Amino acid sequence: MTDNELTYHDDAQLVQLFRTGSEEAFSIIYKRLYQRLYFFALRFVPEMDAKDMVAEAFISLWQKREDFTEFPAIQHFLFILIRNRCLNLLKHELMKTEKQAEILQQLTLTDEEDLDLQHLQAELVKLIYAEVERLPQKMRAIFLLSFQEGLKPAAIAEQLQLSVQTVRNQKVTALRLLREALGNRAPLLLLLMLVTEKFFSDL
Amino acid sequence: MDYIISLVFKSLSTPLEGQELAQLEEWLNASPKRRAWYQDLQDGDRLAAMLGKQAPAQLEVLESELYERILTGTGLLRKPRVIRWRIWTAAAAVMLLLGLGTYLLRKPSPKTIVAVAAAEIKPGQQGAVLTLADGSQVSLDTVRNAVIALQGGVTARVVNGTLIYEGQGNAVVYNTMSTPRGREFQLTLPDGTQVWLNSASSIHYPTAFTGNERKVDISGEAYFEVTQNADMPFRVNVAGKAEMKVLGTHFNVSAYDNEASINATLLEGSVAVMIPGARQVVLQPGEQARVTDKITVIRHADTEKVMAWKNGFFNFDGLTLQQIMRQLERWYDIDVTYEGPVPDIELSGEMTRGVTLNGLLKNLKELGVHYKLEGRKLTVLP
Repeated sequence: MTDNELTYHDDAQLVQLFRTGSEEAFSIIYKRLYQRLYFFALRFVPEMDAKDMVAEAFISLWQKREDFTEFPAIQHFLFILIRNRCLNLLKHELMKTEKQAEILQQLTLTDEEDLDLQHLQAELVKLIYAEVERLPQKMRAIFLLSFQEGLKPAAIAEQLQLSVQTVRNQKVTALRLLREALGNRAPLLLLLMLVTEKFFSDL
Repeated sequence: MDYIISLVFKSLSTPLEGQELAQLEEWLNASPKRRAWYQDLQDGDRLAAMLGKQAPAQLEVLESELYERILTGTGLLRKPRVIRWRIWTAAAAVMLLLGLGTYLLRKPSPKTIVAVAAAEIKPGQQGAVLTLADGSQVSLDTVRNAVIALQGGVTARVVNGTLIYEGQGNAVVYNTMSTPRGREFQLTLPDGTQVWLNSASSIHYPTAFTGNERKVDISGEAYFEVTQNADMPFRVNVAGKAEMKVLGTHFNVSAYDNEASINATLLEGSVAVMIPGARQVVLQPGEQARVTDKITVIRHADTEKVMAWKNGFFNFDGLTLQQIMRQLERWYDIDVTYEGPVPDIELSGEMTRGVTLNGLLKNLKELGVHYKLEGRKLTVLP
């Protein structure tokens, strides 16, 4: 896991620096936690609200920095704050659709374990993208344009100046590489096929 | 935990066996939530959605955007000024007030061709190359704490990312610290004077100050906080073109070859600026000397703009697009060319320097700057 370069030996020291007002320690704590908190909230509320909640939670955290001596307490504080804001938002929605009621129900069942799993998911996604870096160039480009940029196949073909036929051929190549790779146990190619099956079939 | 993640990752494509399978199962069995989470991952559509939302490029934009709001809300952002840009629509204005705009799930417009590698251009970071008296070089890129060298009784140590000289030396031994593009660093000279070096800059200095003056040479851009010593005035030779004599003071010097002038801006104290064949000019705090073949003094310089880099920001007030691009070249280590006439766009406002190039360019795109990015080459389109 990559972390910033502030010199600290453990979380206790990090929190100590933070509570005495170190902005750098605060930014490290932020970088470690914002992602799981944001994507947790995003499961229940729209993007704008999720962003508001996360930003405000960290602002509150900073204001109460002197109250904390341990890292788990910080995560707990932020989680509870955000979860409560989500609950309030959902409870006060005037037009409660069935979908919203269902979401609210799901939210009431959440606890900090959900946050931990959110973090695991983030790490998994990072691993996948790291593997993507190792793909041959065209395949990597297709993958990133499809997922990161959200482009449809025709747009990808245009951007990479490939004919749609070439993109189809890439599929054939991918399949061939896949068969070879299974021998080498290269995990990502299979994964690529798994998630882009639909994409390739849309061509 | 890292091990579990690697097991999950592996299991997504090839079925696990034996001990690995048992370990994953044990972890999954410990909690129904884990099992449910894992099931979700098997769904290709859901996995695809995750990959889309948490792509590295989007995360970097999200991270900076949120952090900027947090800094503002906590009052840690020292400037209460709201980020403002002169060319903007109402919708863009709202986005920009939030920092970097909501690019998280947007599809790029067909006009802008974004090369896949754009996501990887990170902003500058701490780093420099130290050249010792014997010519040997030390990279300071990943050093947070270390003893670098012992020369003539003086120790050079990196302490929390700053190079500090300690000890009383007798021999006159020179070192040079230089930053390539995309790096910045701080050092403390033997007399306690602190120096912040911007990208593409260098400072040449002795490891001990003896004699009746303290003399250093610089190129590029540096900000100094010079310790008081009336017996030993501090002199800065700027790229061989100008000299500054300093008495206990805070000032910034910007001397890039490809900029129109050398600019020396005084924040506190007193500085005399000299060039050969002209009368010296003494600056008062808040004044800036612009040196070309003569010295022009700006009485009320925008010191916040001058100091923005040291405080971690870009300040584009009143700069032409070309001047802005030159700053980006140095900070992101890219090369910028122009296809057709240079667009006549003036910007104002500030932005954190900690954002990736991708994030910053997307912002500029909103303001009508069209470009093409291939690897480290940025082409500005008309």
